[in-house]
Amino acid sequence: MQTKAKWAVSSSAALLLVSALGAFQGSVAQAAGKTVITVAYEFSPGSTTNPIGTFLNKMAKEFEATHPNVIVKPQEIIADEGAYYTKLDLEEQSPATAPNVVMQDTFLISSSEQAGYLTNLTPYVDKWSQWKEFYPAFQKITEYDGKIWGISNGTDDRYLWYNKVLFKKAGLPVPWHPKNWAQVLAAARTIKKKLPKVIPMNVYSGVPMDEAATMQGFEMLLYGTGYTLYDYHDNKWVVKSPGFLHSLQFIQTLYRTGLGPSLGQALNSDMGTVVADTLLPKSELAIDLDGMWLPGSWDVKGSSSYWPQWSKVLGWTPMPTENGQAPGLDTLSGGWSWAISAKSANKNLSWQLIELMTDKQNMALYDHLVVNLSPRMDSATLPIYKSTAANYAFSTSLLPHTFFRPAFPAYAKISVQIDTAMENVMTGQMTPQQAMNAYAQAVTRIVGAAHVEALNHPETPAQLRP
Amino acid sequence: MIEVRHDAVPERPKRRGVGQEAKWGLAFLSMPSVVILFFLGFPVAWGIYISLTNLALTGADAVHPSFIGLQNYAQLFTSSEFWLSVKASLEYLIGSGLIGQVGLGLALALLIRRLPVGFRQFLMGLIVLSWVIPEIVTAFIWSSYLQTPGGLFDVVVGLFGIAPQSWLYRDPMTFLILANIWRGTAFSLLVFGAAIEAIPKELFDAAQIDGANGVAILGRIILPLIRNSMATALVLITLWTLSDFTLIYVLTAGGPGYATDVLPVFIYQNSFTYYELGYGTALSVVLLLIASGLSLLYLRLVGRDY
Repeated sequence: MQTKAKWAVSSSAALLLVSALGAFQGSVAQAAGKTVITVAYEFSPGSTTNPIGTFLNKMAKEFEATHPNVIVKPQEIIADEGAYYTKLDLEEQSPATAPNVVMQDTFLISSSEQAGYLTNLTPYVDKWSQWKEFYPAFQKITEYDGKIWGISNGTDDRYLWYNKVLFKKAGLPVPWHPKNWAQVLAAARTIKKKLPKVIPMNVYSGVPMDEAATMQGFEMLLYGTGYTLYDYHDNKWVVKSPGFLHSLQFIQTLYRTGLGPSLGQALNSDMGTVVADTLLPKSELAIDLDGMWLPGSWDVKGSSSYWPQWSKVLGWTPMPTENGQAPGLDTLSGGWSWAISAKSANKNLSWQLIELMTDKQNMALYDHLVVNLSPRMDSATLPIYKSTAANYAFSTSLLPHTFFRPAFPAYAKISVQIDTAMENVMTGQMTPQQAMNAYAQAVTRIVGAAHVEALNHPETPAQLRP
Repeated sequence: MIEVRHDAVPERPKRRGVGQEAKWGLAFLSMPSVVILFFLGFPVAWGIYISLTNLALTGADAVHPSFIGLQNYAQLFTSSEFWLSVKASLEYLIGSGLIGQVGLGLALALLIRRLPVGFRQFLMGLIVLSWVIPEIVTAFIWSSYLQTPGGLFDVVVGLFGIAPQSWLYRDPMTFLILANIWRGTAFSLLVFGAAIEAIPKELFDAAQIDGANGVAILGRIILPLIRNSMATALVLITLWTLSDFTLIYVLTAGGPGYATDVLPVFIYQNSFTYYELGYGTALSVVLLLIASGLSLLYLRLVGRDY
């Protein structure tokens, strides 16, 4: 009897404890009857600065000042890029976990919309006086199926960064303007010969770096060959082309002849942080094919990655096309947006917060902090915007030549197949031809045989762009 | 067989509560049965159902998955990546689980029993320490140990004139196997140590008097008497090794290429990197079948009392 009594007492105590914990959690979420608006964003492990967090904390204060019954809670999702998308998708599946506002990569807008994760913002945008201030291209970038699913908060482009000090030491010209891929590889070979301790060149590659490998790496090569990923004339994915093969051959040359980082470094999801915080500032890397946002962590006073001399040590130049064919350079633009989860409560408040975050002043502040280009025409005139990093004018000058990634739902899955093809080549497990064949098979499985094609002639303007 | 004569068993005094007790017993049994059914049977059944759909984490298939029959299974068995993954899993299982943890554990248990008690306990303590450390910590210990440049392993082999290398990319499976042996051998050592300890001393004395050598003692006394512990160790180590994720994911994430892409990592990649939940679930079902098949096989071959 005694044991039964003990059992009863202890189990009820446990039940009480569990329910008390539940009540406690509930009370935290509803702190003093206030409405909580969460804003999910990615924070890469190992990053030494957190510009988006800084921005959101400032926005939270401003919003709470005008909305006394609201608490804005930035929700930092600690994950590398690939894992961020996965965690976000999982959170967005349930009303209990869906954040109110999410920072969404624009390339995922269409697939997230199809999965039912996003709120249609068209009714809000229709009544919004500020929408006309956005460049048409950035109104389009978050549009799918004729509706708007996010508000663009910045765009970017990509090019070659090089270390002027190392170039001079190796006897290479400064400033450097390579005209084709052969000249880029020749410079890398000179670095390898003259400065054997330095990594000649980095091109992100392989599955761990996810979209960075696809976009900063592979697509920057591919879109300079006269071929792309998607044929907008025939509405098919280009799964085999000489351009695809040549791009994989570039990766093979880089990683199999000792011109790139070691596989141990390259196949690590921290590689982006390692390049920005260590390899470039310590002059351990000579050439880097990377995004315009790099100075974002170097300009933050007091952070461990503060590097005020960066604009004197580094130079930047466009990525040339494969054989120097017109227009002589290529670049790609992506960018992120603020969206509202389909399953989030308080959509009106979420929208009001997005309005605040993307007004003229705050858009300029955000793009200043993360070193992105503003999608708003009027923000570009503000002093804070103009005072942003030294590579800003150059980045802006490349935009007329930029490409966007194919904005179709299948891209999210296809992007990872590109990373897999790169990894198969860089590790020597497949030849470029075999890796391209495997890619073709995988993409055919994803989109169906009716939606793929092989090309043998460079694409026409009608095929290249939508 | 000993015959039990019923009339020799003293009759238990009849109590009014016997039927009552049985009812209580059933009641108590039914609770865990429901729990097991709910938390084990239901997820397995649900998993099998999902594996017959094209459920995805993103895109239209995330909200409206279609029933596609056995397509995932057909795709899986014809994909070269799946067979590479099975190969990696078997290499990892045989190398680190069977030869490494079971084989080495047994060898250590046999060697260690000859040592003086104090020293033996000290040694056991050290070995068990590697098992007590959380797997994620072990993974990072090995990651920094094998790191290039500057890892301790490079320093050690450097003494023999071997140049620093990216070991985890040069010979990934070998180092994963070494790391898992280091981590898991203590378990089989404990199991075998205890089983050998339980063998009556008289058997060894008698064998020695009869002039049996070490091999005969091992083959005729020790191995037959620890059969059941052996079956337990084999089953548990096989299940753990086949489902191991953390160590591999931290050290190589399945790479380079498919060199260490064991099934759990392959399942994770398909489900959460390629967003194909249906296909990933079909792979999980196959892993479940492989693991159950192997366990049954061991029990038939080695176990007697199961």
